[in-house]
Amino acid sequence: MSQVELRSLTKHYGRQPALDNVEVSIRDGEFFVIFGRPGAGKSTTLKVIAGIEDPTDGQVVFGDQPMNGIPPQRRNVAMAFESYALYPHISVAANLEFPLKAPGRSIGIDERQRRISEVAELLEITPLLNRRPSQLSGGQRQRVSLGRALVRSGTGVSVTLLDEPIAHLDARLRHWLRGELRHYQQKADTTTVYASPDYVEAFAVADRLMVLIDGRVRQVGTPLEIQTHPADTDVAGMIGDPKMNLLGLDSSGELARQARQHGAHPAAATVGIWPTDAKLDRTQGGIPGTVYVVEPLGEDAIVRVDVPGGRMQIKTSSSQTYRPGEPINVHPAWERAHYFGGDGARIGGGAL
Amino acid sequence: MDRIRRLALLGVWGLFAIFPVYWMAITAFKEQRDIYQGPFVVPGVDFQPTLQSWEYIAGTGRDQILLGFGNSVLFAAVSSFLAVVIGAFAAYGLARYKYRFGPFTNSDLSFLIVSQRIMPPIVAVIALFAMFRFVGLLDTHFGMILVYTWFNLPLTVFILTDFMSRIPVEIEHAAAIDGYGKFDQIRKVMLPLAMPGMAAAYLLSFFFVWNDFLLALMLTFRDAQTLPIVITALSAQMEPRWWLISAIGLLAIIPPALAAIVLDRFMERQVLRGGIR
Amino acid sequence: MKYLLIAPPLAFFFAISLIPLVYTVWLSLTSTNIAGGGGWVGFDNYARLLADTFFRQAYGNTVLFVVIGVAAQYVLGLALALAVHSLTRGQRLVRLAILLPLMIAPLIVGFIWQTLLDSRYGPVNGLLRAVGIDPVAWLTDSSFAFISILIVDAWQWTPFVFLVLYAGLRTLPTEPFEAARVDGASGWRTFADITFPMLIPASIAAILLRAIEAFKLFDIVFYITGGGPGGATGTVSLLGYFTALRSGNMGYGAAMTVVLLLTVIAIALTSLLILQRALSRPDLSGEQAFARRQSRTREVEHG
Repeated sequence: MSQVELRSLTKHYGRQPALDNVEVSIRDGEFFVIFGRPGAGKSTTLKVIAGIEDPTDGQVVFGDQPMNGIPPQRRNVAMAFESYALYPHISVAANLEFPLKAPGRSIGIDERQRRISEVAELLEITPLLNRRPSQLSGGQRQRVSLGRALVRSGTGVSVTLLDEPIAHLDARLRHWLRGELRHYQQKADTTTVYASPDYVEAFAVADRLMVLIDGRVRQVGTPLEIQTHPADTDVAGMIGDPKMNLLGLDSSGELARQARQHGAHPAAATVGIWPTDAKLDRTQGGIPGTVYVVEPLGEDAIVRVDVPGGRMQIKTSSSQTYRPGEPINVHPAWERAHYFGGDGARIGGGAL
Repeated sequence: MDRIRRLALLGVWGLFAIFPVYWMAITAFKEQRDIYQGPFVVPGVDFQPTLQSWEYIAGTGRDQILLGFGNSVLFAAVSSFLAVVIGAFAAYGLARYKYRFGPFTNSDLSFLIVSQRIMPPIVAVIALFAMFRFVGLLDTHFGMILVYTWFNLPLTVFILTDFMSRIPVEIEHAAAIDGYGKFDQIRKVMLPLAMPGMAAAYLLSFFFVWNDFLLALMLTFRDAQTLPIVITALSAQMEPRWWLISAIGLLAIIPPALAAIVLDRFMERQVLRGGIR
Repeated sequence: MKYLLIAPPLAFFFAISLIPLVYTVWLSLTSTNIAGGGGWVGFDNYARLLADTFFRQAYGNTVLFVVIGVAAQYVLGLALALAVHSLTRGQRLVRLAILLPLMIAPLIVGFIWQTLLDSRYGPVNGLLRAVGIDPVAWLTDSSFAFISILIVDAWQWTPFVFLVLYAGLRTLPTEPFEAARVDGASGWRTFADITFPMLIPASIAAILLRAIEAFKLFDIVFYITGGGPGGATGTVSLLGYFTALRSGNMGYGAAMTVVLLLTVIAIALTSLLILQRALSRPDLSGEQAFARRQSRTREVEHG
């Protein structure tokens, strides 16, 4: 295990930049998440760290050792591929054993067996160990792929790279494994880089995360830092479940008037309001709007409301019922609103 | 196509495909006069089967036939193996790397290699004869294995390049991540996954060597004679000994048929399934 | 490392292919005799070829053997591949039975068919006599001799076309076929709109490989008719062999083989270009086939 540093990393495919000057330092033993939409450059980052792809420019450094030009097999990294990349000609058990038997890794047979059964237990694939990958479902294949990366934890792996490793599992397993992965990583104390497009997953497991948009790093920080201080509207628009409401403040509108009244930054062009930071009310004041649709989610409900600056999602208790088309008043908790300037960059607000 | 027509087609073709083989088989148990007074189709009814040809094969002609048979098996087995191994590595290169020699790139290289197959052997044999005589390879086992490897290499490269490029590159990357160097990646992952292609390439190569006549005719005369040459020698009589030729022809089916039966199970496997999403 | 991988085939190319090729081309520009005499004649041999009726007949025969033979073998091979592919039991056995002729050396094939087609004691004429048809001079009448060669060539090589197409069928994805069944497409529609378009790459490969081999047609003719009667079944390979090595006119014979080589290269190059284009977008060809079938199904529904 070691610290991983990416120094002004750039990767072009043809003329298309996939990574643009990525600069980040991943700490030793950290669970680091790369968060971004599909195509943002998450997989490319992992592949460059692994040595599968060579960067067009910049450096990858493990500890104090530059890695450029060193092939994957000599970097001692573990990786779960987004496309699984299982060995279809051998059994699941043999797939898991494959990295443990690589040349130069003197791991005894008992130790190999112990590791395989431990990982198989964790991923609930013990009954599948004798099957071939072609006899597995998609989710089972993904777990084998994850297992092949995890089975090496604590054998001196410098970094474990997980490329959307639980994206194709069912909701129950995804939720459960999320926690297990975190636990496993802490126990083995391996530096882990985890790519995910899923907000809940990314923020649940990360020590720190990096928000990647179109190959550029937009923000690096702990989940809390990013939630309380999103760097710009693009980042703010990717986080939250439901997502943060971003409303344009045009100078003459009611929304802008109320925002200023409650202390908005004079240069603010956009206001961000968390779905939990607004109340709905039928009687008095606030921002006038119309109920668009209601999604009941057990105890809570998400109400979508058309307001002058756009459409908001507001999380309320489901004890109140709202009908589509009904006029309603929205009361944002202005003291917790986020403000962004005309260029999208954060300029203030967002106290906890 | 409905079921009946499909079965009718298979039936008719089956008859057409198998009858000549049957004819050869019964001819191997005939005497010369059974052949010339024929057509006799049903053994025991039309004619009395004899073992004349087999006695000849086991007796007078044994050494010569054994020599041709042994040479043919040796050349086919060894040169096909070499062509598949060399071809697999070249195919791997062509499928995975970008080459550039001046203006020439991968597709030109593939074409260069495959184009040798396009050349009718008749174009090459005259010069080949002169070259082999010059370096002293005429009528040697080594020379024949060399020439047959050359003969089959374009075919194996052609088949295997297509096969290798179908193997997802991620699987190879996974092997690199798992700690295996380039050579081990090819040996432990690529080659097993290319097995169906290699089996097919080996089988076709085997068939081509086994069936070759022209090259052996030009380049061998005694020690390295192959079975077809031996048969030609046996038939160069006043009237061809059909019974003997048929008997040897029957024996000659065994090695390629064995190769086909053994390799068939490898071609059957759809090994690539389940590797990637 | 990467150059090491392709070095052996390239070494073979330069050592065993290029030198004989250059030598043959040089030979074709001389009047070299097998006994050793002869000198530089430039393009005289080629000029002579244009007027040589034997050569023109052999060239015409070769082209006809390729066009008719390969077309027939393709249709038959495709029908067989589809039929075997749809079998629920015994595929392995039937497959091996079909491949049987491929395992018999052309030399032996020549001998077998020579006796099968013999006008006097051959079983084919025996069968014709039994049903009351006049026996046919399979090997001595010029048109029948031509047909005989076509039949024997088809007997030996249709299995090869079958093999390539059958392998192609087995690698096709199953989804479009399931979708077609859900849509209620008929067997013929499924074939015309899905199976056939998706088999186009395999088809081109089979036809190309077969055509290249057919251009070299030598052994079967050599054994069965020897090119006769009167050159009716002669091919360029055969004539080149007889001219260069039997009659000893090596220069003139070499010119024949060079013309043959140029013809094959021209055809192979064109086909390879088409093949590369078809193979480079297998995803697209499948998708297009799928989309086209769906739109047609829709037309049927709405019309």
